[in-house]
Amino acid sequence: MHDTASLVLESVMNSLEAGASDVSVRIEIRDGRISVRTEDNGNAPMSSDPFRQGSSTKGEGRGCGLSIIYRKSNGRCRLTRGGNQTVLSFTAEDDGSLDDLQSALLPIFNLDKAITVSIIRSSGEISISASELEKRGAVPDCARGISAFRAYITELEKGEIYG
Amino acid sequence: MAKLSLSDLHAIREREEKNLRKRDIHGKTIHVVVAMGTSGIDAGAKLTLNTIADEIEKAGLENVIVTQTGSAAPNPEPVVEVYSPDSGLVVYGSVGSAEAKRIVAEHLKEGKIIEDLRIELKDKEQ
Repeated sequence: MHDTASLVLESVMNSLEAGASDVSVRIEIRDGRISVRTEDNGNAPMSSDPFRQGSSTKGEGRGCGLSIIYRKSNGRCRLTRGGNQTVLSFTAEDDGSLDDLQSALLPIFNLDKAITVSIIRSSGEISISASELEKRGAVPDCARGISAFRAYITELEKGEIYG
Repeated sequence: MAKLSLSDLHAIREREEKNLRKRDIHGKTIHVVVAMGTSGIDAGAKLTLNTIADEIEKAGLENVIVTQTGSAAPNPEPVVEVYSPDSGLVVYGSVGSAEAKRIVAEHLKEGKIIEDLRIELKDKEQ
């Protein structure tokens, strides 16, 4: 049941599990495909074949997320590290799971970590950061926060918030 | 995310009970935790979390906080844990959208434990 939105969530969780304190995700939706690029400052050891199930350095039974990303992207994925930055990129089919951005992003921002997500469509680009959500009381972990989160995403999608 | 051992869960239970006594989870009295490891997501935990969020918002339950934890395998996922001062820790298994709605309506709103959804947590080695 891993749709493409779940792969984005897996990529964020992979970053957090690698000890990242800052995660940035760029999602480009174009021509029936979704390209995802996740950058983080995590520094957990990397295996030589990180997408193979069982190759995780995180311990037994862990690290399945990357192998699912590999499978669902038909191998169109890459994990690189340079300096203090790790970059995971993959391309998957646009299965419509990111059409409802509120549902797709709520599990990511419910994590309440320093995460920024940018979504690029042919109609334009929107960017959502955990720090902005916190400022607006829109962290989606309680009734009031969930309402504020939904309202904020709606406004962003309508282009009512700029900058 | 990491699979939880029984000792991890006991530690979480102790921590949560302590937190609930102190009412220091951002001032909320009920803490709902959805297991969102890879196996949980594969079983539909993303929908479970979204449904719980929707229902809490609709009901305006301001005393509830919703967070996530890692895999709860080999328990029947999606797994949802509810910590409250009255009932302590209650764990529910195989929580799809319909079951998530019941948890909000019956447990969170009315304080009733839903026995037919309740599970005893198993450690992965068992």
